[in-house]
Amino acid sequence: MPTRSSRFDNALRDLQEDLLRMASFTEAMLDEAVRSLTEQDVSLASEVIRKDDIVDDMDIDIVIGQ
Amino acid sequence: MSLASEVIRKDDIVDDMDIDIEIRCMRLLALHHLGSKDLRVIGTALKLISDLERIGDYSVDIARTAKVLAGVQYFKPLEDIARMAELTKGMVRDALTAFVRSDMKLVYKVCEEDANIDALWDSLLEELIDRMSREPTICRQATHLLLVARYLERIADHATNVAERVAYIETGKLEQLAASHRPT
Repeated sequence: MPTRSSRFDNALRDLQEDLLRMASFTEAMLDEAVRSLTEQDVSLASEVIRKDDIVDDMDIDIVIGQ
Repeated sequence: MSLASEVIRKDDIVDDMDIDIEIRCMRLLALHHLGSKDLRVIGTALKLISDLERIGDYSVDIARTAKVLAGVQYFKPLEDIARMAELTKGMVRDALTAFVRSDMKLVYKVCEEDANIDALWDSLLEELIDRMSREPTICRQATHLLLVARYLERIADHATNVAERVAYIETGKLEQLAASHRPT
């Protein structure tokens, strides 16, 4: 039976791993955005732009909904 | 899988993670009686998600500029912008690693790197103002490129914020570690 503290530690470790993954995806977005500029690649630029709105909507949902 | 599809897949994952991480932070705050350091860790994680989101937003701004400038012939190679982007990405990565590993060496590295980004920004600003005053036809393009450099400089500031928060977790004191963040 895990103690509360070890449950917290495990949850925190999982959270940190996911934050790192989120950061590396964000980094990839930045990389692709800059490449779309230097290589003048419009379709790559469009893909970076496409998802922007979703993030903000979801934040609002979380604050209001939880 | 094409590069474009790859970007779409990554974007969806980022969106999912954003929600998921915020909910889990809230759950940790609600379910556990946390000490002050653990509270600082969770508080920092919540702020960190916002920093990452802002970095995503600036990436979108850069992509929008790429569309505007897609048809033009660049009046200069974009080496300095590419260089700023490389340094900035490294700072984001180091700041996050510093958070996960509580690594104060990386905290200081990120804060020092911020000065290099500021220097690159200052130098590009001067260079392009000078070029624009002599060649008015490049003004439109040069202004867009300056904005991109500014977005990169702002991304570096977000990375620096994260690094300063890591120091805050460790020391309990919120300090402006980067020279550029201190009042002059």
